Amino acid sequence: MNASKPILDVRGLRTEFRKSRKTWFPVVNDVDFHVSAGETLAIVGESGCGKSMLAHSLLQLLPKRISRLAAGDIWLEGRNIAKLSEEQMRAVRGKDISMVFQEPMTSLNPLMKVGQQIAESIIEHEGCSHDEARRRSVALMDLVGIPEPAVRAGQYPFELSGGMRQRIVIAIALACRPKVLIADEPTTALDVTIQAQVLELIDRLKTEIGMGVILITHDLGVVAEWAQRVMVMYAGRKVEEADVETFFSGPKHPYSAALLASVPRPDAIINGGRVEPLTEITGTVPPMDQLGPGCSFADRCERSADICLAQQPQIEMLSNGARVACLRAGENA
Amino acid sequence: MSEHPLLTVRNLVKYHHTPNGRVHAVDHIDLDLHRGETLGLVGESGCGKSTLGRTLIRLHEPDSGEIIHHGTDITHLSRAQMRPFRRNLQIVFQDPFASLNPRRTIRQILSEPFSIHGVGSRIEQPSMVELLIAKVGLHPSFADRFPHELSGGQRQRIAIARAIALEPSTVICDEPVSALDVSVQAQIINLLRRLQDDIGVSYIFISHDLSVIGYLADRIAVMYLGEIVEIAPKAQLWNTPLHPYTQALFSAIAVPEPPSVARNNRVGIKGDIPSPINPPGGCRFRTRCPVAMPICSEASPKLLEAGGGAKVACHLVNGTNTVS
Repeated sequence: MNASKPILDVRGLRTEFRKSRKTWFPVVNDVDFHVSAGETLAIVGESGCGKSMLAHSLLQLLPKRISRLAAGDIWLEGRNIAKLSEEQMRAVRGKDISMVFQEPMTSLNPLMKVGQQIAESIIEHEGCSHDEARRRSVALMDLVGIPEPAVRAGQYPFELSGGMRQRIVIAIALACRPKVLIADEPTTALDVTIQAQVLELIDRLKTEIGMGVILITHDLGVVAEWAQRVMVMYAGRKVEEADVETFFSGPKHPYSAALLASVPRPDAIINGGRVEPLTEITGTVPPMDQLGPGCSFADRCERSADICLAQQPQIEMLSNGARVACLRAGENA
Repeated sequence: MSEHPLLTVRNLVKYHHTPNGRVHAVDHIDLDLHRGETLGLVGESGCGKSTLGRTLIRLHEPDSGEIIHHGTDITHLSRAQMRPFRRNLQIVFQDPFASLNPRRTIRQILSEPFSIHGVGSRIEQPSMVELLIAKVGLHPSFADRFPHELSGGQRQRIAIARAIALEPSTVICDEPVSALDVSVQAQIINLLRRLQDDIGVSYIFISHDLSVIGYLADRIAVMYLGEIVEIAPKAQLWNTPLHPYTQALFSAIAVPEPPSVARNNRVGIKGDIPSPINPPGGCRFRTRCPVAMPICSEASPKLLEAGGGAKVACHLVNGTNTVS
């Protein structure tokens, strides 16, 4: 097999939230994607586009009372985890699929020593002795680059810096060598030099453990540097998917293109260019319970035509290899 | 530069006193801000950039040093004496959810600067407010809404409107776009630039985001643990950063370019920022510096001219440029 088989293969995923007693609306709509071992897939989009909803759906972390997995399959190495019960899911979370959240202070227990928090996951999933778990958690802290791990293991989260805390969160996520790591804005709360350290760490461990990484971010610079493939989401749908080289050479969906053009690029100015105004996307992401029948980006799109308001675009493969959901992407861009 | 600077800061010191000791937030800083320019202030969290911004307009009281505005020393003015100067010294904060009073309408919020400084009569003020709202790109009908009815980007526009209401000479922008999505961030950045062209305001733009700073600033000052380690015109700093910290900071920027064209010469720096309560002696960056020398732990480097309008505080750079 030259193209390595995906570890995680998501087909037609649709997650819905309750609007009233009998009506539901989608927050993740007909999303397909896959991740292979040793690969990083970046999921990008603005707040409210559904990227965190997607991540939470994969692990069935959304509240059952107001949300449901309405359709789709989540194949994890040949097993459809979309069909698992809560009890079966508990064995998957943290073992086969782990998640790193944005804010390291709120995802750690402030009253528990960090070493214990790592050991907890190992004991839960592998049922080993406390001594063994303690030994392994110190080794994990060493792996994620925490100096003096044996000393640090006995400290509480408040005694560590933001970067160190995020390393602990990563150590917990990696404790059982998961097949897939979901990192939801893992560096947004961190400084730029620490951000580089943490992303480098995730990248190195990805290769060492051979896991697939889903990196959720709004920072396109981070995507270009650390991911192999990128998927852009808008209003709960996938609008573009491509390898990073293709994507950053020229995104084909008008939303992706506008997103990329709105990032300030000092390099161009410094090398003698004029300071052009940044591209703005007018308006805001529409509320997901008020979407029309057509393309949900149409009313903010520069290229929209009448047909865009009436017809939902399907994902199609373009000549450059990108998959794009836009009725007008095939026309000369 | 022959022109009188708008704002001059000499030897400014601000320590925060905590139960654990003194936080060296702003430690002997010198700075000039010129008319119509944007000075970018960049550094990691805890480097003192926000404290510096707030001390400049005396939202924090400086411990020592002087702040000279339009030739007047405003360091020790009383609240009442400060008032006429406040017209010219405004600030926009990071979080537009916290900086607007939730119980007041936009009209009340934006009338306040006019009322406090006695600008316009009661009859004139409503139309002045609506003009102001239009100036920041919103529809005048927003005047009768409350902040909670506005999106983050719209609130930040209102916060900017309040700051520019009296056409100040200086606005401190303290991470004004950090809480916003990238497309909204672009709107606010464009707005700030347009207003600068219109009313000739000078900005001190505080951010941890180097791309935003690089896009907006004319000059950039890099802060580390309460000190300025390098200050230079933007192009100079971008193309030839001299201080090892600046080099590391700039090489850590992730650029949204295809991997085949992106530059990749990362100068990694190890570890975290030391505590500003007990900063390392000598050069404060030496504990993380890849090229630290014995002298760096003995003497603290001075911010000296390094050619091309740049000033750098580094023994390595200053040692090779002894005569300037």
